[in-house]
Amino acid sequence: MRYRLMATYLGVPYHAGLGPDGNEVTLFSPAPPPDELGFAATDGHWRKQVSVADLNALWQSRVAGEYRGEPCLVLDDLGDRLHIAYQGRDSTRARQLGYWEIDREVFEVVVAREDITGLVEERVDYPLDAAMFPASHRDPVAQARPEAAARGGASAAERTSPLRAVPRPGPDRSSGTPDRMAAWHGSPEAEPWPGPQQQPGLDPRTDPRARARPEPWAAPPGRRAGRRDRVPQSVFAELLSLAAIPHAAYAVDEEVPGAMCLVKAGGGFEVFSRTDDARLDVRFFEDEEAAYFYLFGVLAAEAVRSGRLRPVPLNGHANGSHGRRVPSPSPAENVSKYLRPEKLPKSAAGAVIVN
Amino acid sequence: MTQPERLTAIAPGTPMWKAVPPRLVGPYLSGQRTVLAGYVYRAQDVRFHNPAEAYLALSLDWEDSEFTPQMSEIYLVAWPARAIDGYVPATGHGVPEFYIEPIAIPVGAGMCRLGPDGEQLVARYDGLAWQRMEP
Repeated sequence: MRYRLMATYLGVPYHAGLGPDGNEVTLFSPAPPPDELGFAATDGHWRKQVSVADLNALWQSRVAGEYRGEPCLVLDDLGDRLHIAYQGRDSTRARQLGYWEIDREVFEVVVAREDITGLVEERVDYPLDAAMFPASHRDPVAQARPEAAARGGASAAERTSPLRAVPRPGPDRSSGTPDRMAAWHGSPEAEPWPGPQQQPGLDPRTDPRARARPEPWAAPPGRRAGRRDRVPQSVFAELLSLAAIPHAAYAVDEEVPGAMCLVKAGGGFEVFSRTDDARLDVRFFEDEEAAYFYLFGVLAAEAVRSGRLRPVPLNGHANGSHGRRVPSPSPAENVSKYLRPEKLPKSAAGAVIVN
Repeated sequence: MTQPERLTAIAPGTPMWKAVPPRLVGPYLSGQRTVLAGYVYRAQDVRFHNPAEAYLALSLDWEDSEFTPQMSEIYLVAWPARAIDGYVPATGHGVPEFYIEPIAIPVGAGMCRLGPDGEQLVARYDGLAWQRMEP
């Protein structure tokens, strides 16, 4: 339940975003759509750009309700709390209701779910032609600064047009939407952004207003994972060794009959069981780390089934007998270590919420 | 004097600016905030080259505003207008202003940091997250 734009494409509804160009819409799917639809996996989602004209429908999915007797719009669902926006235009009334003026005449607040009554999901349909403008193949930032390119020549254009400023290998991104999207998709994994700066004079430790009211941008903990370091092949090999899985059981970057294989493929990684003449149970992963751990999981499961990998109690004895001593830390601890982000994001839970 | 009928005419594709209150910069860039709302401006109507000029041009001096003329940086979102955005004209501050109810951030919108030496694009919205630009 979140405020979002939706689009129906080939009869299927998708979360959508208008753009990047005037006649385009980008469709998103959390699960892989059928291959023939041509969605591309990026950042844990599948996405596809299509023409707005090719949509069956475009609509806003929104949840409205009432907070203290006045209409509100639900911007985000935080579980037991809802991030709501005031729907009237009476600033005085909004303040009386307890909203924060987070921007000029923009009133929002995060409140307990049970404080919102009459929740109803609404669908607001848009005519497709109202969502389009002539394709410009230009960057909105550069367009917002038309004088910059003319005034400063190439250097100014580079500064104001990110399409030329992304120093990533790949095709020419100077114009054309597909290249532009390639540039975005090729962007490095985002570092955790710093949380908002504390407003001077509104210290939650000392200011009762800060303690009394939740901020509208408060998010539940752990909504976004921070960046993880990649699991290098050597680390993976170490894990498998600790799990007593023989090298012959797997192959990386090559296909070996009789082994589980992990190879690069089409913007991601494929993991499969290789026979003499076929790949079986092929799985595709955009994320290298996910591919490695899937492979590790399959191999470990097989090792458990075969009895090679057995639980080891803390005293190092298995099933009451003197089992094989395992290195310290234990394999399980090693796995946890590598799964744990090296650098935790400055999550909203700690840095932002003041209530 | 500006004519109301002229104010209502935002041609689709018109580049727009919105200043981001300092406390919302983090929520935007971390993906917590996914809508644009409030007062926005056509790029053609406002000129600024540093935060002090933007403070005046974008009428950032409302009561309880976090913005100050002395700020070393101001973050701005740039995007092209569409008819469905629902721009409501307002005339209170000398230059044409428009108010919008929450709209989803368009794919391709840019987040710019305006400093003493001008603006620099710092992130690009890909529809789900802001992708940081390399310096």
